[in-house]
Amino acid sequence: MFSAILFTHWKWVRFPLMFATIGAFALPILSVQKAGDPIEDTWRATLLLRSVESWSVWYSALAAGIGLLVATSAWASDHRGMHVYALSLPVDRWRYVLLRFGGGLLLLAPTVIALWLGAILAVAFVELPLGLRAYPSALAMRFALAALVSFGIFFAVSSGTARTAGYVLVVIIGVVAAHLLLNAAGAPVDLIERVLRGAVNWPGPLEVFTGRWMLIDV
Amino acid sequence: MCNNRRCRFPVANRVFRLAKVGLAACTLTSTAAAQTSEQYRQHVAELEREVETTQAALGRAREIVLADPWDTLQVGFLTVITDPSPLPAVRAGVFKAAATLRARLRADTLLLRTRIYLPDSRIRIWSRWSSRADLEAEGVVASAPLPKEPSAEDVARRVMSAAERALFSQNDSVFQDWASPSIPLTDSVRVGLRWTYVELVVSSSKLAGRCFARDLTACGIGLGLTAHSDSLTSWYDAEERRSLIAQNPPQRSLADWNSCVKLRSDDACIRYLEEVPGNVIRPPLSLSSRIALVQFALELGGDSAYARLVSRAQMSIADRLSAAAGVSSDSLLAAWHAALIAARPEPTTFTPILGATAIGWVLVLLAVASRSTRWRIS
Repeated sequence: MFSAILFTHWKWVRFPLMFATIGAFALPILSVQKAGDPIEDTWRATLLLRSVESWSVWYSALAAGIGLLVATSAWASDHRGMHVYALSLPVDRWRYVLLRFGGGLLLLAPTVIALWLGAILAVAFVELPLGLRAYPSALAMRFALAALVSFGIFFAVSSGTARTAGYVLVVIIGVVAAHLLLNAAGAPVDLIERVLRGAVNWPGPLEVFTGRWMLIDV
Repeated sequence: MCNNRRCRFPVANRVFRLAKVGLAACTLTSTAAAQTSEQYRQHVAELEREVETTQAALGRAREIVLADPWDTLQVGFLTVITDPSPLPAVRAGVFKAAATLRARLRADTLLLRTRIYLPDSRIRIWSRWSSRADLEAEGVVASAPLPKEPSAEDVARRVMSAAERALFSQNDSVFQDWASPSIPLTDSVRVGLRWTYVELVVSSSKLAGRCFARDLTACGIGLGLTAHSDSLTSWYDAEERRSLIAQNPPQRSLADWNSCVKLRSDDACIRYLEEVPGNVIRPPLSLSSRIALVQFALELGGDSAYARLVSRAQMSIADRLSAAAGVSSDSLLAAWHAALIAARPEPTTFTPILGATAIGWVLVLLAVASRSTRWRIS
């Protein structure tokens, strides 16, 4: 059953996933293009670091993107078919969810591996200035975790009904409305900032997306 | 205080309004119905009269505006001059910038000599101040043109930038040459120190390496704080000089270049560097590092640090920074070095805690997903 679920999921997402995988492979290579400039070492290193830093935002964006893609596609057909197919299967809900989740995880793997290989290849062809180090494996691990968290969030949201999605939306609107009301009342509380800080700082779920995604650093 | 053009120029406003009403009436009557030749001539004559009246009104309005061509905003000691303009964002932006300046400088009096001009690009054609000499005659020390539809943030940014230049120009030429072109007051000191850290780590200069290893004398030399008559020999050793010259093709004396690079003659290297103009030889610690040091000294010095920096024009740069920071030169460099090491950029790391937290959240989300209101009926 797992292979059938995995195969159908693969069929739904293969083209966008292929583009994401190519993008993941190319991203580290593109980020070190400034490395070949024949400039004095210090400036070359600074240029290289700035170039790597300017590309770093794309790693987290790509991780969030593939998580969203794979997670939403996992449940799209069930929603379209009113869950009749899933209910007709002789499995419990939790087991069915695990099968879908496992299939999604396997589909994330090629993109993560492509990024890791791209990063290794990129640093292999760059003569690193003295004092700088490459972090291809740490970057790939971070990317894998970010994709996993993104997949988990969107998987949980997508697995619910339209009513669940509505609840989530109402909570978000509620926070924004409370923030506006508090500000209008003159209360010096930035509710949105607090919520965001809570999400991106430890132990928030989005902590893995923060920080510097540097393939090459000091 | 009303800086709106409508408040400041009521006569001009009234004339403008009358002219507009006249033109509108003419247009309406001329297009209302089919006309005979006689009526047509009459309308043309009326229109010509209206055009003359409007032109006269415009001329009068221009005279009124040119007689008093600017608005002045005074916030504390900061004076900002703008073209007469109803831009609402200007006032908000100037107040915002003034608050930032006050928070950073903590000594408003420095701004006494700071008159900033913010030309409004929409009406600059009317401005009397077209030349630099005119601006200087009015005591304006810096200007920053506004974009067409500026937000308060745009205005504040321009005021800050102009104020930074104006404040920097209060320093003497020695300091200005050392830390050109200005000292940013809003940038984070930590970011500057972080880049200095990177510079020290990646620099091929031995002096930078010694500075990184906490040789504060080397740091002082590298930053250009000590008065060495010959930076060519103090910044780099013979091998580094030769390497620097070899990186670039010969620009002047080919004989010296050859002797330096091929025959390894250090005398030839020094002769060559003395003759070559420009930036062939850069200091081991760049201008950004110097600026980061000044920002650090200002932050360490707290109240009136910038004022102390500006007022010590007769001293060496090291002593000036020391006065601004309120500590001795050695203590300043030691504190700067400690802050520099603390500002080390966090490399991309994967820690067990990060991994465990992420996986923990994924398990929680998986548990949430495994429950479904739709399936609960089974």
